[in-house]
Amino acid sequence: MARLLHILTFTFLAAGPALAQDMPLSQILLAGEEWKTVEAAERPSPPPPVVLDAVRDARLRQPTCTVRIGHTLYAGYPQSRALIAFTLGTDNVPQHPAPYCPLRRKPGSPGVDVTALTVDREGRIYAATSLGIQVFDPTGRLCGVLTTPPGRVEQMAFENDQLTLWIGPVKYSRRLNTHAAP
Amino acid sequence: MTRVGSWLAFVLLVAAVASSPLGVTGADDYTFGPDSQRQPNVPKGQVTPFKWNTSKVFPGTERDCWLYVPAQYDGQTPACVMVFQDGGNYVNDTGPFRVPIVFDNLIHKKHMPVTVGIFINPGTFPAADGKGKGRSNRSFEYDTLSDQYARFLEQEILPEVEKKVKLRSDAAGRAICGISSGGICAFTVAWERPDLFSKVLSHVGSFTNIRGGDVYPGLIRKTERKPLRIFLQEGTGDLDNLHGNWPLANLSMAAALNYMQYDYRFVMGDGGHNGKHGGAILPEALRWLWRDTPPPAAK
Repeated sequence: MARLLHILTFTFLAAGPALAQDMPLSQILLAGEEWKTVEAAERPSPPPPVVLDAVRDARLRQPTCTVRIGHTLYAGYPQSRALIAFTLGTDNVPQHPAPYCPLRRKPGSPGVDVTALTVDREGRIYAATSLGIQVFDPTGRLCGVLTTPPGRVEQMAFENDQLTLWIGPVKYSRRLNTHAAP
Repeated sequence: MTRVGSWLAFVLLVAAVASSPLGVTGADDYTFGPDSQRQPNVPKGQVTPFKWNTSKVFPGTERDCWLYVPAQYDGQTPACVMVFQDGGNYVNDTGPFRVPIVFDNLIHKKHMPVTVGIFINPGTFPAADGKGKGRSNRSFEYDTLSDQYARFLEQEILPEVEKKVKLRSDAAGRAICGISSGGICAFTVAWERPDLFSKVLSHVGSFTNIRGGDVYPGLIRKTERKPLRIFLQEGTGDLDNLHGNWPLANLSMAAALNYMQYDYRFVMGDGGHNGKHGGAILPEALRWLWRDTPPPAAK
């Protein structure tokens, strides 16, 4: 209640657009929920390779994964420092790339591989990396990192309120307090 | 106060802040003084809105801006300049800061030099089809530790304003101000480009780990002192969340500035993450910030 009052106090008294709503991981984590293996799961075909000239980064690398929400396309790259956000113009042409979501990296490391991306209905962006699933709010700020079972996440998606991962031949799922984006 | 005495005061203040229950707001009952209210016979400056939708530093963004020119600007003498992030809130005559009113009063009394105010809202990416919600670029612009926002001011906004008014080009004649992420943005601009801006006013500045801003106290301690003057306003009821603890972060900033013997002032009230305290003490902060401002160097 005190935290709600604090948020409301700020909302009504603060300097205009001074602070976007914070989205700590606690908003999506559910007590007692962990990663569970999904038995007899049939792995979907991997998504087609992303080969879009417009989303090649400054070093002319192709993204390993992309996800769209609204009029923004987020792209993940190997050994990168940030998810790149593109604005989708008319005809859905990606333009104006910017390192919108700075990724957590191992100290001293030049970058981290982003292997899968997804979004939830509140607009959070989920980026699968070797450090875990890095979750960003819609303004590009890191909310936190979800730990994952060992291995490289090759595919990731929401199925209703379950975040699902494919690591090798195994499918994992975990219920979160959110839902797939419409 | 001796260094031991000031260190002891810091320790006691940190203990007080750290022991405060989360989410508690203080009295926060700040009120405006006469310099934040319209006074008779004080000449009124002119506020003109403009838009900046063609940025090359932040391509694709659109934003509203405002230009305040004091009545005392004579059209010939370059004026001092002060930039405000989240400009719409600072320029609002009925908002928490009321900068045009305060500027009018202080400039009239000669408590601050003739100063042009530039009020800039953060950029947004509009939806291409004009429908739906645009994407906010505020955190990217304000919280990122880089020289990008400084270049935005130097290469785009200041030249645009200089088409209309003559501005001082020396850092001693330039200040920058902001609240929350706008506060750390102000510090970042001056830190990256002390040749452009030498005076910083931060209200409940977000020196926390939104985008790595919590590194500043360490950077300050291990960098040769820069020619900056910094006013930090904070409140014991400010935020404690996933990004950090704002009162502790500002205390850490103040301790670092103190250690490196910066010209700084740190005011800790009991307010929360809002502009009430900062607005109430704005005249005092501006007097301190602009004190002893030298005239521009002769060319």
